[in-house]
Amino acid sequence: MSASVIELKKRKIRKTVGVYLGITAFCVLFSTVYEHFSHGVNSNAMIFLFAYPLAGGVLAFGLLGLIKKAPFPGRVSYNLYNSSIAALAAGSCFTGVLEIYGTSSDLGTVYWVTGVILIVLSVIFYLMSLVFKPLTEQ
Amino acid sequence: MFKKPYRWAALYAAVLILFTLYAVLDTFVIPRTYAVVEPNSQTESSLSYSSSSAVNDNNSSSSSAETVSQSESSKSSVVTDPIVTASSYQDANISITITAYRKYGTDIYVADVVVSDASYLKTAFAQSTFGRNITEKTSVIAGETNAILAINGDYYGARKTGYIIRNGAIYRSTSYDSSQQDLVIYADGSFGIITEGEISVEKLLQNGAVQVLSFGPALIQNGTVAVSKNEEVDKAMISNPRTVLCMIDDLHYLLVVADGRTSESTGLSLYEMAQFLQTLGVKTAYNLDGGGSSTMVFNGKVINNPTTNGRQITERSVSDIVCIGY
Repeated sequence: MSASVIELKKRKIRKTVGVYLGITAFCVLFSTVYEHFSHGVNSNAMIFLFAYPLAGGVLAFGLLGLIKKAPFPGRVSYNLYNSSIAALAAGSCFTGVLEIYGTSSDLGTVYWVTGVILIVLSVIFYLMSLVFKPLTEQ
Repeated sequence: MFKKPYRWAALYAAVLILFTLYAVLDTFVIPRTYAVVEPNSQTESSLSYSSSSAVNDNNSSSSSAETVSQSESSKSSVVTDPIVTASSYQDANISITITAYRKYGTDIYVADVVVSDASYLKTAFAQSTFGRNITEKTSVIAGETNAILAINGDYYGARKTGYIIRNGAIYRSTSYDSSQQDLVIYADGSFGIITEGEISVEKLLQNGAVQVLSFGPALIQNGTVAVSKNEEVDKAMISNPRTVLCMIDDLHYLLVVADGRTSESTGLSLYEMAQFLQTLGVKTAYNLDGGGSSTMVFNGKVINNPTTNGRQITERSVSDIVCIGY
């Protein structure tokens, strides 16, 4: 990768990690407040809501930044990946709300299935971009 | 409206929000009727329970035909001159005495019930309907069924699984969990505790079950405390309002509700409740839906202080009740 491409990648990584850090902080705040008012009913899905943006966003893109040869994902792959993290986090939040209330819903599965499908698609698009596009074009 | 790079994010966010809105409405608001109970069967005073499978809410086929008969001679359906006070009811068939206790910093209301026939111990659905998100306040269901005394039931509507038999009919035959403990009330009025992994709901009906309540856990079995100090309902780890159905002896029951979540009453852990009930001579005690659902109604009046958030004393709408009446 050229110096300009590397610099562009660094900027995108910084921006993405920053946004995910903000989302992680929001998730920590949201789950803490929700658990506080849940009369002692705990839900791991709610407590660990922050793990999705933290692991899937901050850590994943931080790792991508450390791998010098790995290009920043293209728009399609990037959108699909972010959407998958959003689906998984929303699913975890929904499950947490249901667990704390003491109920269940089959619709919760939709979040997990959507999240996994989108993550797989994003990886496929990313790998395809590596194969079919020269790194200098990233 | 949005820059090109953000169009996908905006569109996806809109879809995610709309789906979540639908999922929340489907779970908590949109009513789904699986079976309407005939009014005369919901408040059935007849001694014959027509025990056919009423419905199965996951649409799987299930059928059973069983008739549970009881001794006609043991029951009189005529209510003759009941003696009623603010905390007691007495007639030829039903005796109810409500006593308030103060234990563990909590007000506990104990209704001591003696009946001449097991059929006076009943259950009823909100709106006489079995379904999801079909609820009414305990006092309203009690009024609709002419119950003298009522407590909230197992709130079956909050879950899609767990055995349900009510007034001799199967309403749900799918197991919640193989270790799920259910309370079985048999035709003779005796109580039994079963785990769903060990017996089918059809077999329970064959064995004479008239009511099966699926919440739990059992607090007392054979007069012995059956919960550990740390055992709780699902993920509830602190003191809460509680509702418990107990048997002391043949046709002698306790319907118990504890306040909680207020500055006056902290609520009880399951272990504390079990210890308290043991001192009252309870042989079998089964925990029903607690928290904001915990409500006791006597002669149309709410006896306890039901609250969901601790700030407002107000009844929560529930799926079903356990009651005493004709």
